[in-house]
Amino acid sequence: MELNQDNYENDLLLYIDDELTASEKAAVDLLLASNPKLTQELKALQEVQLKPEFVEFTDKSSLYRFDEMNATLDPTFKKTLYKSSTNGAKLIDIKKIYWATGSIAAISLGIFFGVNTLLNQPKLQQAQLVASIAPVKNNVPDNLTNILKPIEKTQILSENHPQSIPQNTVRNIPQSNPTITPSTLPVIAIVTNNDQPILSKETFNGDQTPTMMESSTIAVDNTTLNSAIAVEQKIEKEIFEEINTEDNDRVIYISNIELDGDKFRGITRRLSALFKRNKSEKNK
Amino acid sequence: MTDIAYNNAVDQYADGVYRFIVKNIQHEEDARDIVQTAFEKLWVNRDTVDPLKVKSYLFTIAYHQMIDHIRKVKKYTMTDIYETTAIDPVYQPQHELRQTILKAIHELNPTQKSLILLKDYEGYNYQEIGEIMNLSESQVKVYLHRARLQLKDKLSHLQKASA
Repeated sequence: MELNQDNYENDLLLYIDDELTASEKAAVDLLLASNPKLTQELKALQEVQLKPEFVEFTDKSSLYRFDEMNATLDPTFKKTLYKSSTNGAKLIDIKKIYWATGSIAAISLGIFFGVNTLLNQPKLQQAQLVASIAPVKNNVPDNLTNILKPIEKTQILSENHPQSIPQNTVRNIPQSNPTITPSTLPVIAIVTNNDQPILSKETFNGDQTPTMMESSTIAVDNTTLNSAIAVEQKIEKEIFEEINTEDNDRVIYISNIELDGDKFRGITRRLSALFKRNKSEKNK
Repeated sequence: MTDIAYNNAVDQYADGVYRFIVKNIQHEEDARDIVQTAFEKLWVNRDTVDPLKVKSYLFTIAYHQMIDHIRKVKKYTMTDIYETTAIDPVYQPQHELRQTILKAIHELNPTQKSLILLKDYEGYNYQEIGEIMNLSESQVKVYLHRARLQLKDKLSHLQKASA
């Protein structure tokens, strides 16, 4: 194809894009040499061509790859890892269970003993009161207890054989016994079948133990009787006054909290029953 | 393709692919992401890619990634380009003339710009450009010639205005 003014532009574009064959390129060179206007046209097209410039991709290391990156673990080795990790988890769970059980048991024991202490506090107070009263009882002459037995026996005897015990008989107290005085002698009222109280006062000298047959009744005057009864009543009164079981004393104080003892005890009994029931169900 | 051949391809073509993309979209971070994607695909498909066509494979992947990116961000709208690249008609020194040409290139549509970049920077022939851009050889020729004539007219207009 012959170059002319109409088709030169297309050939010049192919010329600068290096898309012409060697013969076509030689033909263009010949035309350019003979036509300065085409040379100017070629320069104008070459001016809008981009000149190569260097632009660097700075982070090439992020693009590098190696076959080791795709390395995979042997499935059997993975299984061994799964197994070991699973065993470790089980051990941890068992330890946790032991710790939890131990802590629950310790807390339960603490609550149990605490509640027991609180509930037993009134009983302890009663025991302390009785212990404090004991010396009062001990102040009663020892011979009173020794005397009581034969007199009770005498009472039984008198009930069975009223005629065997002479009424209104008094055995004289030996004056030689300095320890026993009429005021300290225990006095027991013996009720006979005649409904006449007979006061029997057994006397003994300390060395000899009185027997039923040796015991005898003595009549004492009214003042001695009254004093003896007063002593008994005083002792009993003191005991009943000290063991006061009114509701106010059953209140349980935990810190500043005031609890009703009966209700608290009821709650603890229900809780203990519930625990026992759960335990029995678990055993089943 | 072995990992050694792949890493050699990184050394040989990473700069060219990056230049092609960054000159197109004018955004370095996005260009890096596109290059990363192109090489990632080459690594994944290294066993099926012809070792003799690694370069065109990379440019093909990068070009289509770039087109997708442009569609997503809608970065290249004609109004935006005209607003931001107004050319001063007064006389400019030679080094500034080069910048003016580059700005004029950016006024072209992405296809024309890619044609010029692939031809002038990478030296691909029409057939290779057609393979990369999924165009026929005649389409490449027509589009590329049209882009060059537009640039020449714009430049001559500027030169006349400055004279």
